[in-house]
Amino acid sequence: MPVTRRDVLWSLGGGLAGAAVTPVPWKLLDDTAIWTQRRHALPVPPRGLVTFRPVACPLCPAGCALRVRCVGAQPVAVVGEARHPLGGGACALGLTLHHLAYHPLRLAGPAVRVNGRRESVTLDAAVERIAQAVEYARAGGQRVMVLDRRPGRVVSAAWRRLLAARPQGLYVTRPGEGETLAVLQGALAKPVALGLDLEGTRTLVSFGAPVLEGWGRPGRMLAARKGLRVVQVDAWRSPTAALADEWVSISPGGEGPLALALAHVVVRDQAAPFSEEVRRALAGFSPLRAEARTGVEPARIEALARALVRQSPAVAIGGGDPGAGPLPPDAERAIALLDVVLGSVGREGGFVARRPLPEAGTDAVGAPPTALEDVPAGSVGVLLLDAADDGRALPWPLLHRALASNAVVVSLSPFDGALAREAHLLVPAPAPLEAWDEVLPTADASVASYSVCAPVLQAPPGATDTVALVQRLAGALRVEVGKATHEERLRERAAAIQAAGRGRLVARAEGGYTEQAAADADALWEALVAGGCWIDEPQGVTPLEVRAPLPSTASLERWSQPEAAGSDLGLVAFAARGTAGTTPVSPLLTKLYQESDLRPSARTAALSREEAERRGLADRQPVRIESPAGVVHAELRIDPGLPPGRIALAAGPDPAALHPGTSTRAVGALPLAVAAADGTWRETRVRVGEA
Amino acid sequence: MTRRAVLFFSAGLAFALALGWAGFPRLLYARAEQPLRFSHKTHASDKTGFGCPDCHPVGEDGRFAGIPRIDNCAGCHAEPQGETAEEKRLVEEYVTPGREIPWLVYARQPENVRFPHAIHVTRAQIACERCHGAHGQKDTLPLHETNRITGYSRDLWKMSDCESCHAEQHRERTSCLACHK
Repeated sequence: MPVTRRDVLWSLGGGLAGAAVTPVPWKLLDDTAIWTQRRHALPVPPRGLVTFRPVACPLCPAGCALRVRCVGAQPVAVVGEARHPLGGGACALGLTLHHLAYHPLRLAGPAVRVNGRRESVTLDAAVERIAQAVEYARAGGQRVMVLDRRPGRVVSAAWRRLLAARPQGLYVTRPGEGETLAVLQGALAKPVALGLDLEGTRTLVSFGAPVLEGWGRPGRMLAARKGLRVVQVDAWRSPTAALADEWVSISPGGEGPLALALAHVVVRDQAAPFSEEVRRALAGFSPLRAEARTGVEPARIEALARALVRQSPAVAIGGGDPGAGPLPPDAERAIALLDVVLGSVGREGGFVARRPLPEAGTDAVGAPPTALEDVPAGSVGVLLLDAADDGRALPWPLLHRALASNAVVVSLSPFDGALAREAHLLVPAPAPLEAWDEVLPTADASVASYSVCAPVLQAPPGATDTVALVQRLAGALRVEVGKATHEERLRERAAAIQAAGRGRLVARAEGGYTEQAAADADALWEALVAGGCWIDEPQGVTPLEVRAPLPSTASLERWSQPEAAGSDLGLVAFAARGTAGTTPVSPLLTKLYQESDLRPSARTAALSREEAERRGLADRQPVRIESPAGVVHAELRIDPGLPPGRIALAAGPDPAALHPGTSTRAVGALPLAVAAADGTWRETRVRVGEA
Repeated sequence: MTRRAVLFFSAGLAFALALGWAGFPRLLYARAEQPLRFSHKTHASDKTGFGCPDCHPVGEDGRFAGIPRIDNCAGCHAEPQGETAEEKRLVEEYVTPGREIPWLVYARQPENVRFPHAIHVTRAQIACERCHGAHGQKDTLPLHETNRITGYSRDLWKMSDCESCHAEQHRERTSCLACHK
């Protein structure tokens, strides 16, 4: 029987029909999908002994205690130390800490930027270039400035010693979360360091500080939250506002006037004597008059002020948002004044004195800190950006203002992102988990504490520890900064703590922590390296004499007048701590910021429905946002919870870090920031239109 | 359809079914014998009194020991326990030189998954047989079958198996991070 073409087709048809009811197509599809997940390009951790190494998170000043799960020498996972005596837990950024050494923006070694492209240079050549630039700046009467965003470390001390030896040296720091405490410290008759007795506080009024999202030591706040009433004063429904007991929606820039209006009610209703100067300053800030500037109804201001008195101890906190930047100094003074009239300074549950952290003798000398806004414009010939990150945004225009036209910018960040993009010379420091680090007390801490973090990963040959770089630079400039390594300097500091003879050592033990005595400095050091923590003794609550900090007359006059109406929108910038600093976030956080909408990304801008309709804009429409400083594009989202007259836009994380290689276009709030003379950018106004 | 067409269609159908159900699995999986014969039945008998946790314990810190190391075997097998050739090999090739037996693991997980035995066995009190079958009553070890495409063992549970069990138990959250790292 000859087989025809038709027979073959029939048998093929039968074969196909039969194959469809066998595992062949379905199993092949399934297995091929699994195969794509285990292709050779994917890193597979080597098998080996599973160990847990204690580390401290370097992504923000909180320094949360973490445990890194290692297989052999390779970190594969990070978990928070839930039982840490200073408060446990970890944020999403901390849990991805071990990814950062492999981030696509990681720099392999020193490089110079020529016409926008990086060209590798040796470390010797890089140091030589910096030294030449320093000498050139000296000859031209320009300053050499180091920006340190985590002051107080042994690295900071090394920088300060180097700068002190140069007549044109400037050691610059940025305001952080502790600005309200700093203002109060400055107002004390007898200066002492202040902390917050959070565990005894009943009411916390936060003026824009993300107290329930990432502020101070988050584990401490979580532990204290149960007995604490949180009132969040914010221009948008921030994550902290959503979690707080009460959200007070204010107009952007209304923090200072609202603090004064609350203080006005407290002073008016109390019999306690306040100086005539205070009464005069608060006279123009009755709730009725403050409404125009704050956008808060007078009855609500009255009720809130009375609640603060009734539910005392109550404290008011400023410090700003990591994306929106610090509050203006006068707003901080107004908040501090509210604390003073509430009687929150020097009392249980309020601001209490704390002893400073003992320092090694060599750490105490060096160039004094200078505020960035105090640096004369165009005066800096060399800018060195230290690698440490405070997790807060710093728009480039604030630094650019201080630079001379021929200034050389050097970045020590391990990554080529954020401010490092503006650098001419890149000398990368080790990435997180690759270097020694230390954890200092957070701004809010009521007692000093100290812990150290040993490297878990070996730094690549191209990464240079900052202390080693300072020493090389000092050698090139013929300046003496000491020969001790980073580790040796940390040991010296631990020895100074031991020599102070106070505090207690809480050592890492099986399953948790245990208090133990350190026989000597070496024993303390060993316990700290093993994940332990030194905690100072509480100083006890003693009354503190404090002068009332008053905002400047110019601010008082400006705040007492209604804001001029205009068609521009107030920019409400925001970011979670750690997402707007110099360290990029792990690309795996795309799920948090892009796919789930759990967090607004820097690619979406929010407007109220009313404001969008007024401007003829629709949800998910591409928009163009423009300020005198720059232009960004974003996708519009209608946010019914956002009051009219403002637009909310995240300052981070940088999409270029989340999706390396796909886009480096400027987006987010930072390119729009208009720097004020006081170094803030919170009162930026923008125009929005169709893209 | 003519009879001739039915004939050829049926032939194609039968061939595909035979190939798909009988031939394909043989092609898909690479089979390998374990390096040594091992009887779970003998070890877990009333005579020894051993249960699963005696050789596969979950430690106090929650870590699962997995397949016992050769030190565990050496406790009883420092000298041959009988006269079989396999027993002799065990002692001469592995116990005496202290060399680990290169067992082929039936349940090796993908790298992005964690399976804590402590939570499933100790806390949820799920019997070993629920996942491993009547392994403890078998006299021989089954052939180890490796999927040539995925590289995983044929006996490894799939994600859908985990999901359905979690859904049945109503105990554990079934978010991604409950199992994935």
